[in-house]
Amino acid sequence: MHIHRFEKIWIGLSLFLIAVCTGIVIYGFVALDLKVPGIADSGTIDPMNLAETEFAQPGVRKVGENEYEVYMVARQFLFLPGTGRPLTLPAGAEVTFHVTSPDVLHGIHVSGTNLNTMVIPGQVATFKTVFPEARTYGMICHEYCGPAHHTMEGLIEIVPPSEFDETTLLTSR
Amino acid sequence: MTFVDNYPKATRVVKASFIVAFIALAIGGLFGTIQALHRTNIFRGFVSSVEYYTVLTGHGVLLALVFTTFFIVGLYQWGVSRSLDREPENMRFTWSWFWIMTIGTVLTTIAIVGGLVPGSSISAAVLYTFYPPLQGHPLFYIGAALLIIGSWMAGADWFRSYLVWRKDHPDDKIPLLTYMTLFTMLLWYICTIGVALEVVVLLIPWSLGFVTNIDPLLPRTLFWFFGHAVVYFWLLPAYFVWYTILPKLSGGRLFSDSLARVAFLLFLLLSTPIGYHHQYADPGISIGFKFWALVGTLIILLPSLMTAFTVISSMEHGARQRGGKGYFAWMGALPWNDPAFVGVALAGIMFAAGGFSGMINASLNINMLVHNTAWVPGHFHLTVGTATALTFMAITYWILPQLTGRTLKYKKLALAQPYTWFLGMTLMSNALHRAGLAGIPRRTAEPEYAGFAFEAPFGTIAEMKWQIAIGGVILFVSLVMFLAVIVRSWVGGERVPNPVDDYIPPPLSGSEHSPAILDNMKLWVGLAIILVLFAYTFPLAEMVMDGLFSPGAPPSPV
Amino acid sequence: MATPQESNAPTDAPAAEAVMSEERSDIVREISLEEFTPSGTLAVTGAYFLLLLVLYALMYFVEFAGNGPSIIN
Repeated sequence: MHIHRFEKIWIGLSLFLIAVCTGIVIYGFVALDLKVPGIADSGTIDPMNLAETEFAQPGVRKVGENEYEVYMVARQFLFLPGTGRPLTLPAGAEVTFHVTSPDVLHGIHVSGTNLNTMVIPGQVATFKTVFPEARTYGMICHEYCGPAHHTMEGLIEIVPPSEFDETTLLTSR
Repeated sequence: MTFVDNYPKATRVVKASFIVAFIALAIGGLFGTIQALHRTNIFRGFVSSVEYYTVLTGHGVLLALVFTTFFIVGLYQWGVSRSLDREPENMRFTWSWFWIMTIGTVLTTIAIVGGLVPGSSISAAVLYTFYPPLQGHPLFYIGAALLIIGSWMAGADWFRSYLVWRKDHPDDKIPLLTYMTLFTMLLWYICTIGVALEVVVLLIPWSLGFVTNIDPLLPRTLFWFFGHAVVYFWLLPAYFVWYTILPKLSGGRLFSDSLARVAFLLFLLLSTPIGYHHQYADPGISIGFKFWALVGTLIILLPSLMTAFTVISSMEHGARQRGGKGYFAWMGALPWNDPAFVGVALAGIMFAAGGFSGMINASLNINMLVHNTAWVPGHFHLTVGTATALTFMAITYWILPQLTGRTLKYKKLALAQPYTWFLGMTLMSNALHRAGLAGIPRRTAEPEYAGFAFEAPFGTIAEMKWQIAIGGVILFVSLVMFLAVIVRSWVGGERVPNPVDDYIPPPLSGSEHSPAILDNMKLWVGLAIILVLFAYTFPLAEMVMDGLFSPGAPPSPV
Repeated sequence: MATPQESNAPTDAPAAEAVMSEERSDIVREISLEEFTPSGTLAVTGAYFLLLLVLYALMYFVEFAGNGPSIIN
């Protein structure tokens, strides 16, 4: 096989580029805590019987000092909680989202952030984050889910911890 | 003497395939323009925002699946007949795959376009990814299955020609055009297993009502088993043109036959097991397999980067033979007045930009920044929408005269057409990428929300909208220019013995330097299957174990 | 002219030769494999390599890492 010396250099540079990109991603994943959704510990759930799961009552639960869990249902064409009335959370708290769908595929992108996940019936999308500052974020469905897909939006309102109204919390099951 | 004189039977099937491809291109392109104007809110009078999704489905299916597949079978039939010096072995079989593909296309198109007919009970606004539980009319899935089955038969036709050729040439290397065809089809056979299982085992019975509920993750995963490799099914025929024809159009010769073969076999090995990188944001797929997809996807950069070097150096060889000098100035010596050359070269330049945004898509966690935003259509309009589509259009200027025996007409219009495409795509694609970084979603009729506004990191939202809309209109103008040149040349070109210089010079480093192992298809297919099994066995088993159709969700007709 | 290793059909040869002598007048000199050094290609691809590296790092560390909040687990 005839490979010109310049082409050997180029193949070397290409492999270097691949290694650097892989390295950057792993560095970001490990050192900067930039993660992606994975398999939920809870496994799959029955999308036709959400009433028998934590998703029967969507909302926010407090699970520890400054730790909250959000159980959210995305369905045609709204987020519960989020659409109509904003989902309210305190700034600086560790928040774990659990999101599922009873009907079709949806997606959530919290606009202007890296919070982005698919929502798949039968699966629970689970991800943890911290909203550092008090402000309002828009939230949209980013996977086509039917004729009114473009109307599916919600708001997340982040308030200073002192102003967070704990009476809106759901009690744990 | 040109192709039509040597292979009149093959010519007819190539022409028929191109006709279907260009009809799909015309309709799909029109739909795309409607979308560009609609989603930017420049003009929303063509369709309602509900019908938008039908138009979007038509755009995706007609361009990404129909235009590409029909052009590819035509192009590859041309390449196989020419390089093996054979007509198809049995024309009845050859026409049967053409008609099965065509009937499939018509059925799927009826299912989609039914959504635009008032009062029609037929619709399939499921987009080209057709994720269940969104449910289209059964004709949509049946037509799609026929299109794929027909393409399998086309591949079988070419393998048959190859085997007959092999009997007479026991010791020869596979001619490069046929090598590329066969390796593309091997890739296609492996990856379409996923979508064929999805459609035939899950979606057709479900759409006909034999089963009610469906597990959404399993078909989605089977779709992406196919859905990333399919981009290489679109891209490799463009590479086929870049490796074998572009050097000649540049006035040079292919630099290395062996590296071209290496690139194709790397694609065969790597393109299917990395489908998970479309599912980085999915729940239900473990992080380990997502990492495997990350590494595999970045490694598949290698054959593309190698292609960049081999193809650019072949062009440089042409430029220097034409008197080009210097490190960069040689590019000026290339034939920038030849429409076929210009289109293919501009397609390659755009692919370099698309390669960058693809690296971002591939990189696991940064995908969260751009997943399902306008960045993604920004990316694939550079790749399949330009690297593939513009290459196909431009090379038609060179191949069509060989099929009709007539010269190309409207040469100035033909020359302006790729430049126009390049301009339109530059406007549209840069704005789509930036809109994606601003968080504007893809696949949305009205990306405007009541509760909040998007903030752009680069430029302004208003300027992006105008660039997308104007870019879309310019692309449509370019498409009309292309069709005008083709139709006029097809019926009105002058009949001459040699309507185009169709000679392809041998590579600088030819197949005599290629190790025989590169031609060992059994070895590479075996390795490819092992890699696929490694990637998919465990996750698919996990999804299937709790029942094929569970956890089940009810259908949602659209 | 048709070498046995040529990538296309030998049937190209007779007619193509005539066309070639006319249309390939744009070639001022033939450059063989031994004579050809793709220095321009190395320059172009080298520039592309640097561009990819810089843009990738910028996208990752500025656009992405600076775009929090992010998924942390």
